[in-house]
Amino acid sequence: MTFSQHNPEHQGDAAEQSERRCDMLQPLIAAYALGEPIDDAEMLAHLQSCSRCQRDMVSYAQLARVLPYEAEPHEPPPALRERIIATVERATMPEQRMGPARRRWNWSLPALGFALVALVAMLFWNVSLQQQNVAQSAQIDGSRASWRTMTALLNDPNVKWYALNGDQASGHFWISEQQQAGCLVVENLPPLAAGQTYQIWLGHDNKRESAGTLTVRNGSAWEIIPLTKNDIPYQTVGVTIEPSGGSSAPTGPRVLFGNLSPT
Amino acid sequence: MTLYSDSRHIWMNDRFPTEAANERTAAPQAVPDDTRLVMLLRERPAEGIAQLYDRYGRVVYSVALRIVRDHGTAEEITQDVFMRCWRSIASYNAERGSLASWLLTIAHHRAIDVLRSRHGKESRNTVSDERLELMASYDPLIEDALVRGEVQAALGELPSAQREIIELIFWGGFTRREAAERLDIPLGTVHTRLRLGMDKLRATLGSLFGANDT
Repeated sequence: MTFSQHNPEHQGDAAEQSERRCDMLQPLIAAYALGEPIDDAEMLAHLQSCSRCQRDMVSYAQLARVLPYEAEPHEPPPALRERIIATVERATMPEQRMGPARRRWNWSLPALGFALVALVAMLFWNVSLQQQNVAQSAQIDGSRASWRTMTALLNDPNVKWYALNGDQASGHFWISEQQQAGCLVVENLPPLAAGQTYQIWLGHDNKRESAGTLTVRNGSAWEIIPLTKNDIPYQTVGVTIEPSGGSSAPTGPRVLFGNLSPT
Repeated sequence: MTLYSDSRHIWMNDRFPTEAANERTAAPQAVPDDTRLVMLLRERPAEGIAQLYDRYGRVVYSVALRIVRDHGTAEEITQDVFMRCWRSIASYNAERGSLASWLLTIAHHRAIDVLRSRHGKESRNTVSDERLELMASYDPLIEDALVRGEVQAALGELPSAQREIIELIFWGGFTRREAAERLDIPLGTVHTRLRLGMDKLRATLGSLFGANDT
């Protein structure tokens, strides 16, 4: 048993100290409930053990739950409803068509004609692709180098990986300190409008550094990112939509974001 | 490479949820219609999303518009919110809170992120599942028109200095430090006004959550 547990005067001091800490942390707890991201280690440790502050957190969270209702009601445009429904319909359509359509084979004549035209077009496209092969050989060499880097990176026993999340897209960022490289792997990227590109950003100390743009195929992409500046403590990685060619700083909507913290 | 850990979730995954679970048992459960909506979303997505939107589209859009003050962006945010809800519906558990809480928490965070990005500020982290659960767990089963009146009245009773701080943080996406800089007052003054304002709101709006919760 400690001295303070024997001595009522010291027990009173401890209680006073604890209460003062509660009072001091209350604004942080309130701000956290209102949405401010707070990584205050003292607050988090105190919350683990203080029932009064836990109750405060619950009641402040309740307040934050009803504050959105203060917003004056506005009717969204009717087209928005249709757009949302159409997006869901498009996304679920292939699933619904799979079963019966495969078995019936009751194509109409115009549909067969369209299929033949499409087949011929694909043959021409194939020939054209073969002609482009020579021009693409340099690009292939570049890809090989990237693959080699990625293989080396994934074989590093100390490779670290971090999850990235977006509203639609998701991905992972692999980092090998040994290879001084990272590899960003992304999937489910929404299609871009003409004149747009996806750009990668590494963040540290409220700054963003471009790490290049992404070449997307069927919504997926991966990119090797050299990490040669060992003195830079990168804390985040993100992907935004930018004008073609990229920007010097993020200007467009963010589609993917991740903290470089252990997972 | 120096890394930092997102430690603010530690307590949510440890001791605090026990407390939260006790609160939840006393709190009202999510409205039954939510369960039906969720089933519909899982079985007939297009029909489900239509009904979900008919029910919550206006309030989600209004919250986004209040924050970004731009109809086009508010539309994009609303669409994002409903898409995220639909894609995540498999993991939704009605006992943890209502769809309204879930949707509004996502909408608020998305809109604040857009606002901060527009002003060249660092974006807040994507709202985590833990936070969504926390915010959705104390749903007072609200009728939005009724609650709006009560919330507006409660905020109206606050001294303007206290109300200003709460609004800057909640609706403006300011941190406490940014609010202090904006108002040119010490951080300590922001803390005092925030605490007093939140305590008054808690006392005024406590009836919405049940007497035992406040």
